[in-house]
Amino acid sequence: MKHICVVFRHAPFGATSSREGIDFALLSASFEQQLCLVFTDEAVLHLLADQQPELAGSKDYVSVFKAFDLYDIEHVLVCETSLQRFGLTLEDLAISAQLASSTVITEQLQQADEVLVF
Amino acid sequence: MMKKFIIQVNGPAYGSTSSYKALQYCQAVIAAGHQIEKVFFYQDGVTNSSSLNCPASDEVNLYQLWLRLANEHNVPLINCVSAALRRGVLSQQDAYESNKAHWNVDAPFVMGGLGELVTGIEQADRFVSF
Amino acid sequence: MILHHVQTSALNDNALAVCLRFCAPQDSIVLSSDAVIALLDQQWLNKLKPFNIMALADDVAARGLTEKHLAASSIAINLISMNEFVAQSLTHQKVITW
Repeated sequence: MKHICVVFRHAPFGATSSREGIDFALLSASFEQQLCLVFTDEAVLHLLADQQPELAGSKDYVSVFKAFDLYDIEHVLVCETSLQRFGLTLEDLAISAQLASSTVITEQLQQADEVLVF
Repeated sequence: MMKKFIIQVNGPAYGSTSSYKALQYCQAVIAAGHQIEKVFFYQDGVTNSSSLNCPASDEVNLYQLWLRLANEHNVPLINCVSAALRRGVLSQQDAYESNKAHWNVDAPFVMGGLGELVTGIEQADRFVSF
Repeated sequence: MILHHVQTSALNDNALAVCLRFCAPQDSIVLSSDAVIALLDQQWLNKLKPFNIMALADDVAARGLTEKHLAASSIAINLISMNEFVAQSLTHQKVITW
């Protein structure tokens, strides 16, 4: 088992990288790897409530975020700086996530065995 | 001491130079006496495996270069099948199952699941993506 | 100790900015492909300054950039080959491609 950290840095729906990153994260979790997800920059917008991906021609891959618990993905970190930049708070998010300073995220990256960025 | 690398290729065969960088990196790993456990093609990287890519004769032919790497150094080349199908990159088996008349992926490229990436990361000493 | 690998131009993509946000003092950054253009931009150079910076020599040369262009950067930049990139990947604990 490895400690894998998956970082998301792209906005929802404009590109497919986040969706393919989520696929990777869920699969890794089902292969019993220890997962930590980090949402930073525009990727924090993936966590907003009431999204309608179909209107943008995208599959709804964000609803599955609510099932992170089922996959034993307990560590979901949201970059505090990025949330603030967009005027958002944890209350705006559809799932319970941990507000993380840059220092906390830096430590996560150091601790992980591997880090994949999508 | 020999180390095992897994390489992830996310960039397209044409459109960016990251796949060429990945190939050069693989060559340098082997030249240094280390092992490429596998090259895993994900996202747009799956287009590297299309035998229907026809670059001009005086341009880099990445498909041929991957083939040579696989044949000369026994490097497994694995496509993420779900990423590939979405991008029109199919093996004969996929074509049969999707009722298509054509396919563009042949050996040494093989189709595999994302699990191949996860187990590869688990077994390798180093994971590097491009 | 992490080797951060950035491949895209900081003027087009947030990879370098996000990398720098989470880079630890002991980490290194290797710039490849269009990412080497940051070496010409004083704003980015100021942000890169605290870290051990490497750039792929082939990518610098491919773009017609020479010692003269990089001399203005006022930071120490190690131009490395692909073989050295592989060696650096092993001397660091892991490689993060942004």
